[in-house]
Amino acid sequence: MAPASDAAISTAAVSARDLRFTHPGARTPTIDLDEFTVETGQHTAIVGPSGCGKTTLLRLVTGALKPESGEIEVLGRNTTRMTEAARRTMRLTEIGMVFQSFALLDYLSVTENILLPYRLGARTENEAPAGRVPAIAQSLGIDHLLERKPIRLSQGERQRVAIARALVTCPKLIACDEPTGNLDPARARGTIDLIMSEADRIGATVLLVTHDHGLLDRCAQTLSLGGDA
Amino acid sequence: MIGAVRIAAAHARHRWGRSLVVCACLTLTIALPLVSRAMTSAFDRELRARAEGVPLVVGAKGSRFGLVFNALHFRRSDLDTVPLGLYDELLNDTTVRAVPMHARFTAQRVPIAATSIEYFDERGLIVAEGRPFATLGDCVVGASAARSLRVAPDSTIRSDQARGLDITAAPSIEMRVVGVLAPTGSPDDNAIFVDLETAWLLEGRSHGHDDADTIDREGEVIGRTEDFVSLSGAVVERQVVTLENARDFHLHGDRETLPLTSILVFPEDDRAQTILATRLNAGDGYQAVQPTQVIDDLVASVVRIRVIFDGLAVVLGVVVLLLVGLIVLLGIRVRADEIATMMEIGASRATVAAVIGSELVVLALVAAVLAVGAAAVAGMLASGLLLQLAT
Repeated sequence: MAPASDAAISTAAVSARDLRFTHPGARTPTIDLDEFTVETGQHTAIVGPSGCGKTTLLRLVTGALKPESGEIEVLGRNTTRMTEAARRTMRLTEIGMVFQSFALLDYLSVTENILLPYRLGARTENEAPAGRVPAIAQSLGIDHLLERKPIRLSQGERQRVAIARALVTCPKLIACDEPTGNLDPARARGTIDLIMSEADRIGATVLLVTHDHGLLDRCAQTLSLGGDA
Repeated sequence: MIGAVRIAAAHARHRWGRSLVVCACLTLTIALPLVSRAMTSAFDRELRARAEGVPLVVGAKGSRFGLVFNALHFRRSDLDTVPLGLYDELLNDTTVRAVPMHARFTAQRVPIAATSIEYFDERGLIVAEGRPFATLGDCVVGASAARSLRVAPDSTIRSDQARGLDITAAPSIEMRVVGVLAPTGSPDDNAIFVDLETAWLLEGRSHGHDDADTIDREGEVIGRTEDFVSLSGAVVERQVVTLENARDFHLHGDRETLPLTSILVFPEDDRAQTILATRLNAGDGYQAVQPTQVIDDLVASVVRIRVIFDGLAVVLGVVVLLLVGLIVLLGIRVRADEIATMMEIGASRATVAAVIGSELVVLALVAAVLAVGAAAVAGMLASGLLLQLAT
C-alpha cells in the first residue's frame, strides 16, 4: 500500500488518513487505518477475514458511512466534509456499485435495472444519454435481454446486468463488494476480468472487496485488513 | 420524482394481487359514503319532484307512506280502498279538482294505473303515438314500459292474474294498446294507464259474457223470468275485450261503492286544501295527506339511516387505513434488501419514501376514480332501487 503523501492525494482516486470507524454497540473499532491510497485507474483489492471490516471500508469510501475520525478524499473531494446529500449525489453519478448478490430489482426489466441510478436521482437526469444503455448492454452481451425480468435470466446474465448498472453513469470509481462470492472460480475470474476490462475501457478505478486470493493477481495493489496477508 | 413513480408503478404491476386488494379496500372506503350520499340525494330529488306535483292525496286510513307511494308511484299497497262515491263528492266541490286512481294490478309486472283522462292533463302527459284510452280494455303505455314490453299502438298486453292458483279470482284480461306516452323521466314512464272500468274488470267487479237473453246452453241458465235471467258459473266469461264485445261487459253492484285506491286532489288554494284535509282526517274512514310532507318524513328517516352509514364508513375507513398501513409496513420489511440497495446506490430517504409512497398514491387515485364512478352510477340507479326498497 502506498503511503499517502500530499502529492499522492492530489492524483489519487481514493486516499485516507487516520481513518477510524466503530459500529454502534461494538467495543473495538471496525476500521482503524493510518493511511491508504488508491491511484487513479489503479485496481485495488481489499482482503481479509470475515468481519474484519472490508465492506465497512468500502462503504466509508463510497460515502454510505461517515468515519468517526480521519479524512477520506475520493475523486479529489474530501467526503468527510461533504453533506450526506452531496455524498449521495457522488455515489449516484460518479461511483458504480456491484454487490455480492447483484441486488437486481426483480420487478424491473433489465433496462430499468440498468437505469436505476438515473431513476433514483432526485436532481440528476432521469434518463441515461441516448444510446448508452444499448451500447453497454452490447459490450456486455446482454443487448438481447433488455426487456426481460431478472427472474428469467441466468446467474451469469444477472452478473452482467449488475455490472451494466454500475457502468451506466460512466463512473470514475467502481466499488465491488464481493461480486464473485457466490461463484465458482472459473466464473469468478470471468466476472472480474469483465469488470476490469470495462473499467479500463472507461478509465475507472476499481476497488474490489474479495475473499478470493486467486483474484489478487488481477489487481495492482492489495489492502489487507485484520492481519490477513 | 418521475423515476420514483416509474419504479412504484412497475412494483404495483408486478405485485398486482396485493395492488388489487389495496385498491379494492380503498375504493370501498371512499365509495361507501359517496354512494350513500349519491343514492339518497337522487332518491330525495325524485321523490320530491314527484310529490310536488300533487298537493293532496286522499285514501283509506292506514299507512300514509303506502298511500302516497300507491298514488304517486303505483306501488302495490295493502290499504283499504275508498268508494267511488267519495270521488263523486269531491267532484261536486268547486274548490278542488280530483283525479281517481286505482293501482293494484300489473301486466307483465308493469303497474297498471287506472284513472281518468284528467290525470294526463294534471301530469302534463303527452300521447306521443296513438290516442288516449277511451273505452274498456284500452290502455296507454308509458315510454319505458313500451320499450321493455315491446308494444306499440294496435298491439295487446295481458294483465297478470293477481292470484295465480285461485280459480275464483278474476281472470287475466287481454288489453289493447291504443297509445304510447312521450317520456317524462317519472314513474309514469313505467306504467300502463287504463280507465277505471278496466281496473274493476281486472278486479272482478265487472265481467263479460254472451247476452243472457240469448244463452240457452244446458246448465248455464239457472232461472229465467220475463225481466231477469239467472246464470250459473258454467257461463264462460270473456277474457279479451274487443271493440265488438265491449258492450257485453257490465258491472255488478252499486256504482257508488266501486273501489279506488286513492284520489289525487288539486285544491284551488291553501284554504281549500286545509278545509278538505281537516274534514276528511276528522272522520274515521279516510285520510288526506300532503305528499311533500310524507316525503319529507321519509327522507328524514333515510338521512338518519345515512348518518349511521357515514359512521360505519368512518369506522371502515379507519380499519382499512390501519390495514393498508400494515401492508405498507410489511412491504417495507419485505423490501428491506431492495431499499438498502437503493440507498447504497445513492437514493435519499425521501426518494425511497417516494418510491413506496407514490405506489400508494397511485393506488389511492385509481380507487378515488373508481369510487366517484361508482357513486355516479349509484346516483343514476339509486332512485329506482331505493323506491323498490322503500315500498
